[in-house]
Amino acid sequence: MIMINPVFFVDIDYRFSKGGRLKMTFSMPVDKPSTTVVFGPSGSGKSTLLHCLSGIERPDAGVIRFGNRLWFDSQTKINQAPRSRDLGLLFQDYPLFPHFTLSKNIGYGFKGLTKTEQENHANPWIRFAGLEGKEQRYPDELSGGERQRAALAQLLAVMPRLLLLDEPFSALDLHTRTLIQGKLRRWIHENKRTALLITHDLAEALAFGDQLIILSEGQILQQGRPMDIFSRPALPSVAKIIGIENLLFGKVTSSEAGTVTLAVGKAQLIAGGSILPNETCFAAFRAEEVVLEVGQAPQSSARNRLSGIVREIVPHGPQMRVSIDCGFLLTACITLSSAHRLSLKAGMKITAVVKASAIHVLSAPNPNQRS
Amino acid sequence: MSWQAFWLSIKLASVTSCALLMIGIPIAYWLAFSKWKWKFLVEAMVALPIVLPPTVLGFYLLGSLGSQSAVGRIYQEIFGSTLVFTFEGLVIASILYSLPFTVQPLSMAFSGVNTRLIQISSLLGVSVFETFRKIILPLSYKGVLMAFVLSFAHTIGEFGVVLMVGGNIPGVTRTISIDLYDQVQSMNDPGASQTALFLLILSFFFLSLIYFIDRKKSRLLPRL
Amino acid sequence: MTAPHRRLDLLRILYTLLFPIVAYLPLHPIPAGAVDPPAALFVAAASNLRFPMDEAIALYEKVRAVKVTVTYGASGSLSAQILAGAPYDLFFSADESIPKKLIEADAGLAESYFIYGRAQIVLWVLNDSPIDLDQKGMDALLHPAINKIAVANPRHAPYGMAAIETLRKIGFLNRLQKRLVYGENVSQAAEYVRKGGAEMGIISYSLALSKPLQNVGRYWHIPSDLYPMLNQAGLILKRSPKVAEAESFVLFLTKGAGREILQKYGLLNGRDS
Repeated sequence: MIMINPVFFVDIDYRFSKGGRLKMTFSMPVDKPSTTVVFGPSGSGKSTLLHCLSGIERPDAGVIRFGNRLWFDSQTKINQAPRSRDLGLLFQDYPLFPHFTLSKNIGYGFKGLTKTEQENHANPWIRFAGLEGKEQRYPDELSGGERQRAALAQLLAVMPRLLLLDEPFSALDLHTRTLIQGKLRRWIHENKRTALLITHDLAEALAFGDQLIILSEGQILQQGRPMDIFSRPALPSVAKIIGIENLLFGKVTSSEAGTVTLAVGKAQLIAGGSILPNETCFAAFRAEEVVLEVGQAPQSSARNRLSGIVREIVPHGPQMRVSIDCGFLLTACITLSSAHRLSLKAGMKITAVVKASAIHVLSAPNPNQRS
Repeated sequence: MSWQAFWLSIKLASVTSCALLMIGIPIAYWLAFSKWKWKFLVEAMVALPIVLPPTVLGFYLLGSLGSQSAVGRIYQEIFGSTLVFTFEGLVIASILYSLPFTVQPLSMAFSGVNTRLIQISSLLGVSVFETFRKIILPLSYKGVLMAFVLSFAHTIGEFGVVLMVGGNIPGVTRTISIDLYDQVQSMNDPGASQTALFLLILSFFFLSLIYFIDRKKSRLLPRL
Repeated sequence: MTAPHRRLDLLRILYTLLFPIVAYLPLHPIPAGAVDPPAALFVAAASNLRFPMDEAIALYEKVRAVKVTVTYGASGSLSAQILAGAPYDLFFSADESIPKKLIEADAGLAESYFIYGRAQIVLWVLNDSPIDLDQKGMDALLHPAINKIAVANPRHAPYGMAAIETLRKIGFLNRLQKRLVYGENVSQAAEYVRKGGAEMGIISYSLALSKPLQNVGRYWHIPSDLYPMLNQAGLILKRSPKVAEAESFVLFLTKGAGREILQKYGLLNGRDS
């Protein structure tokens, strides 16, 4: 009986030679386009994860199954070589073959073709990477960003079912990055591919991920939809990794001269940035940036003053994490002594103050666009 | 100096080095990439001719290829002449004697190729053989050259094994190094000095070539 | 569908170029001097015969228009090679026992066994040596100026064996053992003396009479009762396809014009010249 398993199932246990262990289980759908982002501090095992999935490294135990194809099973001693797994891996240092031109590099995966045929197959991918005119250049004649794009094109050109991308946009400037990200997302969507992407760029994680995995010290701390994780980090460590505790979904109402006004729930926030009006976005700011005030406000330079009620106070080492309901939930982080001075209690009225410059506005993909 | 002996040496070295490249490449590949736990034994075997006195090798070869051996007899049946004391016998002896001088540079060059590149080739679905042909081999071209020149130079200089297995037959197995020996035996000082000087210059040429290829600064990439 | 590759291919180049070289070269003869005349004769001879044999062969070739190729070596090494199949027609040993062993091993034609000469050994020094051989005789071996004495290797060179026997018989062996240096054959032993590595050598009489050495040093006959009689024997080898020609050469050497040459080099009975 053939089991149709529309899932990429991963359960691995990998021991590093210097101690340390990567142990995780997760899965992704493969019958529709899906992208999972792996987010975590350096040393958490992200690259090793990709290497294990690709067959370059071998986990000590576990199972890796892509749809119907069993790629790795430590119990039955199955371990398929990378070439037998239908995947592409972009390494963190995006190496290219130094003795081939750009065109030959990109066309490398095509077998049994004449020179012109190979070139013809490579050309659309050269265009994809935005490297027209550089076909005859050698890798050492290309910039870092150009090489990274070329490496991406090289692996996409063979149309792998699974993409494993290790910080694939790290060398690209903002403009190029946005361009390529868009092209990649479209490609994944149009070809119904599965992708696993490592990044430590927040915006990227939000832009790409259908699913987010927070990895730390070889373990999954949390996995789920990015929005869910950001708004409700399961652990303080997760919040720490993410780096921001306040992620509010809103819409730009106006934008001028480097400032945008957002409507978040019933409140209005003013932040730095330039996003066009009517665009949906996230307002992100750290708990440490929220100042709490009791009573009538003095003159202050802060543009954002939100009234709310203290819901919860949780001691957190030398600090206090305070949850405030302003119509939406805000998290503030203040010192114990400050909390004392204000005689902070649950249920009391409070004003949360945030500087406009502390709020990062991230564009959220249109919910209709994502799939 | 005997030009006949010189050309014989050149012929022997050429045939040996070419044959060694053909034989050595698969061996070096295996040594570079195999993870067999007993691989070190194979490495030691390959390296034997470097440390064995040539006469030991010659002795074993004479015994295993001579007309009293199974191999020798079979050869004689098929080809009508002995294997030893012929040029063909010398080729076999030289191949064994110069084997490590081919295999070691090749193996080092192969394993020196950036592993990432090999992995990428595999990830793109390219077969092991094609990966070797298009990636590993071109990027190891310096090692290939080195292997050829080293085994060529080494074969020219061979003496003990050639004497044992070849028998110093003029025009057939009297290589230039044997010829030098002969001249010394005949107390032909002028002839011997001439031959010795020639060999010295030739060896110096080869060594210069080897170190030239090995220059760190050489950024020659095989642009294909 | 695979179309033919048009680009240059390193591996393919290697293999397609190498293969013809490997296959082609052995089939092509080396540029030799003249075209080989018919009935070439291969002779293996003990090293001590180098000079007399070269002369004899030169004469024989002129007379018979036959090419004779000779290889010199230590008798023991040559016989090992013969047993392993070396393509010689004739073998001239420096002693009797080796040819006999070859007959036993069925490598030689028993009926062809012949004795072509008798070896004599001499003490030999360079001309400028302070040692007065004629005056001292065997005692010259003990001369203070001597640091090293060169002999042929007794393990496979009959002349070397004779030299050691001599030393043993006169009772000098223990004393001089440390001073001995062994050449692979008598030629090499002579070479040591010639180049100054040894102050005296025990070499063959014929070598002392040869062109390179005759004006360079002085010799002194070692009394023949000090060493066993060294008949030098030869043999036509079984594998030889040219028995008739070989016989003719043997005759030339033992009874014909070649004999005079052997005589000249002191290889035939008696000490003198």
